[in-house]
Amino acid sequence: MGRSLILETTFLVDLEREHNRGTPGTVIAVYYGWAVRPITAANAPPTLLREDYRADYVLMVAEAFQADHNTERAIGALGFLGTEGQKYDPYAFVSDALAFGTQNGYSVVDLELLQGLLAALLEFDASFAPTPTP
Amino acid sequence: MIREPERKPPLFLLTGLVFGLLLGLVLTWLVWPPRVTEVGPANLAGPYRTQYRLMTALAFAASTDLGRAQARLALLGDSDPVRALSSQAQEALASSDTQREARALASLADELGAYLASMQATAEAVNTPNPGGQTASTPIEAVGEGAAYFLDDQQLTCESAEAPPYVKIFIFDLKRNPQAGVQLALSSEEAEAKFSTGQRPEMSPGYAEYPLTPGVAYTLSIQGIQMLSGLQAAACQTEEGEPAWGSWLLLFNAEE
Repeated sequence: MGRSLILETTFLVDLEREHNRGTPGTVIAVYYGWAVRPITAANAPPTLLREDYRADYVLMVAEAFQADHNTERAIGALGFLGTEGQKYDPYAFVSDALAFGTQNGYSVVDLELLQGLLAALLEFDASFAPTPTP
Repeated sequence: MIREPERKPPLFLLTGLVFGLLLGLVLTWLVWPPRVTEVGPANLAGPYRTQYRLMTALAFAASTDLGRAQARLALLGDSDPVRALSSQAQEALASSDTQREARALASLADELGAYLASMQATAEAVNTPNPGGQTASTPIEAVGEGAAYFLDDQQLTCESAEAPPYVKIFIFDLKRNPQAGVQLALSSEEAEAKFSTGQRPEMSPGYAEYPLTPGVAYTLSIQGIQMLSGLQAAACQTEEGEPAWGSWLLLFNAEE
């Protein structure tokens, strides 16, 4: 009984020491695993695309729209950026891309393409327009 | 005689560190991985990659901007983008509803394939040593020091009696890929002309050309550093035996 208690105490003390020694290693590994080499997403949905890639996708839609002037088709293509099975707001996608392009030095031609698509969306369905805040 | 206790290396510190490292990696990679919120097109799942490729092709069909389409396709990280486009075009061709998409995909595959083939052929032609190159009448001296590029090859090409003489420059980076946007200057006693690579992407992103006036000696600078002097239009004979002004073909590679 006494021997068992001593062994158990020794084990717990060893474990605590091991834990204290392991702390720097844990900190290093956490930094490495989260900051230096985090796991990257595979098979990601487009909702996770970085802002510049989202904006460029919208620009592709605007380029294609310039050729066929098919608004329904453009709205369908913009659905790519929405969450599957949920309602999406094509106006917001184009509006965000236009804001990104303006801030990040898109060419005038590209900005005009985005503006053209935005105007076409409003013409197609006025309810796409953002609700003014009081 | 008192024996000193044997000193053991502090291995226990190492085991603690290793234990901590393992624990930390298990936590960060398995238990609480960081929430990924921003990915590139290469990380998209299969069907989304297909849609991204299709949209690239439709945008190309409208704008015919091959450089932009190529850059977008590169984001997908396909090992063979031409093949990926072709096989997607084949699939689209199977359905009558997606004929437009099939045409756009096939068109981009064709254009990109032709462009990549011509780029490869250009690089091979420029890299092929020309035994007659050394007998050209115009001497060209390298004068640059501390330059980021070196002259790897020079040839005088004699294409046509009607064509004006040009200096045609190809610039390749350290990985021997054509490099766009490299600033070049051709200066003579009277004037200086500035231009850059990439303005004729149909030739190569690393290509630039400038017409030479016969009888004028030029100095060529790359990124503000003098590289060649005494560059002049040189007389030559075409394959048909007609006298002509030849064009200088210069290949520069990045210094390692």
